[in-house]
Parts: sequence; structure tokens; C-alpha cells
Amino acid sequence: MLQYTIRRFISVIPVMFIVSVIVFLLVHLTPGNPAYLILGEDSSQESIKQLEQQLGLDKPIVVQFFDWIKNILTGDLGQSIYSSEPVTQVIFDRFGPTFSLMLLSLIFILVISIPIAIFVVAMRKTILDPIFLTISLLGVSIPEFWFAILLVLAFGVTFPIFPVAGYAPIAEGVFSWLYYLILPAFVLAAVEVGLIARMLRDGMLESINQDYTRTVRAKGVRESTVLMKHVFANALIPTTTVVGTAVAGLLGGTVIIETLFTIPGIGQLLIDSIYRRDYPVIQGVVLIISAIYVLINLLVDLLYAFLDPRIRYD
Amino acid sequence: MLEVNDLKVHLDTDSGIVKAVDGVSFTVEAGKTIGIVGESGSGKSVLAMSLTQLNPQPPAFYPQGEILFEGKNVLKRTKKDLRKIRGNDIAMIFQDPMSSLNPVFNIGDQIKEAIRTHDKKMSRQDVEKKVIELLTDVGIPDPKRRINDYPHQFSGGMRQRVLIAIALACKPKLLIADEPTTALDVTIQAQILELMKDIQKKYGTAIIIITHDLGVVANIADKILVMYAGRIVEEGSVHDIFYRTSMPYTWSLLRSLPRLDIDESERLLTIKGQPPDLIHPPEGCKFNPRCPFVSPECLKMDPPLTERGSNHRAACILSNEQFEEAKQALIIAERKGVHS
Repeated sequence: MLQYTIRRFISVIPVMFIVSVIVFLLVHLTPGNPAYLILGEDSSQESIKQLEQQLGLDKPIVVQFFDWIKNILTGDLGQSIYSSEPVTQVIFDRFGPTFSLMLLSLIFILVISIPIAIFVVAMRKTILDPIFLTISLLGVSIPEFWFAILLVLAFGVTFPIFPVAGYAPIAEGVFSWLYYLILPAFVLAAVEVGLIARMLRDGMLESINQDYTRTVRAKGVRESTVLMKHVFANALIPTTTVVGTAVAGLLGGTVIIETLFTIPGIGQLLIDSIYRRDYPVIQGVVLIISAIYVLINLLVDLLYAFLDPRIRYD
Repeated sequence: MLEVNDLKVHLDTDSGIVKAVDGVSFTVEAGKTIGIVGESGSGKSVLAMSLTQLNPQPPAFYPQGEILFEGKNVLKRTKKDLRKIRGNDIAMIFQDPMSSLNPVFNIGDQIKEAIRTHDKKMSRQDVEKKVIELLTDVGIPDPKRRINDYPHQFSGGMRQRVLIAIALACKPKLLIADEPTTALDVTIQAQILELMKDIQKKYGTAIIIITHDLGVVANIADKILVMYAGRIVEEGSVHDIFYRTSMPYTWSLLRSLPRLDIDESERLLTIKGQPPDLIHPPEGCKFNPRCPFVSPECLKMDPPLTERGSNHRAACILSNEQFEEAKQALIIAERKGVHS
């Protein structure tokens, strides 16, 4: 297990290196002179020169790259052009809302999809199964921004139970934190619930006819235990992969949802920075998002080994 | 102890009703071993599963017959009663040990589950002790250490031993072994059969062993049932079946066994044709399309089992004497065919 963990950790290094190259090139592949783009059309030749110097754009590209890597490794992602604050600080300030949103979404996903999947499998011989399949397909196909607007209309306007937009940090109390987050987190979760419940159902239906399930039944174990212990444990293995990609997908979803619900998170920061042409922040955010993405996949791999002894002991 | 009377088990499939078991009767006495022999698709596995109603329903259903276990009809039991029988009174082991253990739980837990399901009061230490005892009984070396290992860390033969340990966990009165050695190496097969014999001596369990291999049951069974197309076509002692064969199908099965005492130039005999379609079985005797001794009468009627000696019965219109003559004639004809 330890060896497996170490191997997985080492495999992250080349991935992150490639990611950093791409993020670095982001500025350099953008057509035109970044300094010019940042400052706008009316800027003087002098101020462009000055900004180029400030950004280090006048040095050879290889030198620039190694400077950038060196800075990342020391935790320095540069300075925001817009606010002159360190990029790390800017991102750190916006991290709380995004993390809260993702965490609550993940909880929603698991709490909704697991019981649904078990219930549908238990009722697999009834009309419920085709109904479930239709709804899950619908859930996967609905664009999240449309679903978000629909929910806001329903629970924010027609029945004003939840606020339409905004955010309260957890420091102001769990209740108001939840109060603002429930609607956006639910929207974010909705798309993934259909997919994950479907994966879990398929996994369970496959496991339910396996030889080992027959062995368990032959022991005289009750059917509910057969389903929730043996069948479920085996279905979790393929589902974990999808949960991993789903969580990573939530990151992308936050960009839309944060904009819609005006939540001051990373996603909104990214959008704002793009409008402001704040390249260091854009680079920083993209780098952080990629790092989280890689980290989640690493976690999934480790979780995998935890769930499946065949991987653990390889 | 177990009495099966005129049992039918049919499967309702998209292409029609499969008459997998079609009127089967037999009895199993305590502590005895019976072998059920037949080709793939003869209905023997469906029969085995139906004894504890393990076949998924649907597609399986029971249009006729009864399964009396200690006097009570298994088919009329509630789900709860059935669970009490499964594993506790009647245990099963299956064909493929490689896939019959849950890959995500260690074998100790899987054996413990078998004990715990039927005895919730036993203390943790006692359960642990029992598991180690069982693993020792089935011949797993170093059981204290291996108890925490996962199925993939065991070989096929060792997994079958673990499955036998699971089956024995509650000292069942009857052990049903569905092709227990088919997926194993020949040397391991012999070990597993030997183990089953030892187990029977120690635990006094009755055994139903289901196989397509007459060689497997020859050493172990007190009685052999030969199944064809969902029916029993011959039943008797090992001696009856091997030396006083009264049914052409049994005879063909015996002739298709590889033998060491016969000249190697002789080809291994096969039974021509395919096992019958159980949705639309042939008219008359089900074996008639493949029978070397078929006569017009065989197409008209399906012969019932008739007495051929004490506790020896067979389903064929030929009497023992007629069958003997026909066999000799066929063998002579074959020899001529080979030499000319």
C-alpha cells in the first residue's frame, strides 16, 4: 500500500510539470503583446516597455520559464496587475466560497445518488427502473445554467425560501452559510447525481448476478444485506472513478454557478480576471485549478486501492 | 431426509419456456452421497439450485412437484424459513471457485458471515476460533495468518477449500456440490474429492455431487442419477451404472470417458449430436435423435423409469437383454468398420 501511494505521488510530478508549461505558455501563445493588451490601445510606447520589464517579458523565453517555475516552487505566483496584491493572496481569499460550494455539492451528490441507486436496484423488476433511467438521462442532459435559473425562479422568486444570490462565510454562522449555499450547491450537484446514481445502479446490477453474490445468498444472508454490503461494495469500485471526474467537473461548474449566484469564489475571480486582462491572476487560477484536478485524481487512485484489495496488494 | 417428488422447474425466457427440470424424483438419505451426472444443459445445475430455491424467480418457476426436506416442503416455505435452511441445513458449493468469493472482503470475514448469519449469539472469540478450526479442517495451511488474506491471494484449489469451509460453517445436514472440481487441475480435483470424503466422515453430512464427469462420482457416490434433458434416465449404484448399464445414454457417456487400458489407436468416442433444445424437446424419448439403437417406437413414447434390478432403474424401451444384444451387435459392426 505504501509503495503504491509513493508511486502514485511520484506520477503527479511529470503531470504538474506539463501543466505548468501550458499555463506558462498561456500568456505567450496569446496573440499580440501581453503588455499592450493589458494596457490598452492608447498606451504609450514607454509604459508598454515598462510593463514588459515588470513582467519580465523582455528576457529570453527559456529564462522566463525557469524564473516562473522557481517562483511557483517558492509559492510566488506573481502580482495582480489589477490590485497589485500577491496572486497567492488573491486566490486564497477566494478559496473559501468555492471549497464550500464544492463540498456541499459533493455531499448532495452522495446523499442523493446512493439511496436512489440502492432503491432502484432493490426494485429492479418493477416499472421503477425504466422511470429512473429516463429521469437520470434527463438529469445528465439538462444544462446547469438553465436548471439554475429554473430553481431560482421556483425557490427564490415564486416561493422565496432561499436567497437568489450572494454568499455568507462560514464564520458568520453555519446556518446562514448553508442558507446561501443550498440552492447553488444543489444545482451544481444535480447534473452529477443522475450520472453517479446511474453508474452505481449499473455496477450493482452487474454484481448482483455474480457467482460471489450467489455464494452469499446460499449462506442464508438476507437480501437487503446482500445488496447493501456485498453488491454495493463491489459497485463502489467503478463508481469511485466517476465520482472523481464528477468532483473535478464541479470545479468547472463553479465558474458558471458562481457567476450566476454572485458567489465570490475562484470561478468568479477567473471570469473577472479575464475581463481585466489580469494575466498573473489568470495563470495562477488556472494553475491552482489544474493542481486541484490532479490532486482529486490522486485521491481517487488512493481511494481505489482502499476499496479494492486486488489493487492494494499488487 | 431429502425427498424430491415429480419436481418440475421451468424457466420463463424470451424465446419460450425452458423445461430445465421436467419431472424428477429421488431421495437422499442422511450421511449418504449421491451423484447427479449429465451433460451441460441437462438441467442438473437448475435442479441443484432449486433445492434451496436459489434460482432467481423469475425466470424460474415451479409448476409441479415437491421438495421435502425433513418432511416439510421447501417450495412452500416463507423467505425467512428458506434463509434458515440455506447455509444452515443445506449448504452449497459451486463450480467456479475463482469467482465465487467476494473479491473485496477477506476470507475470514466471509466465513464469519456464514457462521454469524445463523448464530448471532456466538462470541467474537468463539467465531474466530471456529473459523480457524474450519480452515484447518479443509486443509488450508497456516490458517491464523491466512484468515486476513483476500480471495485473489489464493489459488483455485485453495479457494474451493475456503468455499467448502463456508459451506461447512453451520454443520449442514446436506451439502450440494455443483461441479466442485470442474474448474480445477486434475491433481487438485482428486484432493478436493478426497477432502469431501473426509468431511463426510467427520461431519456426517449427506452430499449431492453434480458433475458431467462419471469418473468424479465413481469413487465417492453411493448412488448415481443420470440426467438427460431435465429427466432422470437411469439410477442405481455405481456398480449398476458402470457394469449393468441399462440405458443407451449412460452407455454413451461411459464410452466417451478417456481410458488408459485401451489401445491408443482407438479414437475417443463422442456422443453425436447436440443436447436437446429444452424449449422444444424431441417427441417421444428425448434421447432418440442421438441414440444408436433408435427404433420407430422411440419417437412415439417417452419410456418411464422401470426396475432393472434392486434399486436400479432405467428409462428405455429396450429390456436389459435386448439392450445387451444391441450393444454387442453395434460393437461388432464398429470393429468391422475399423478393420475393413
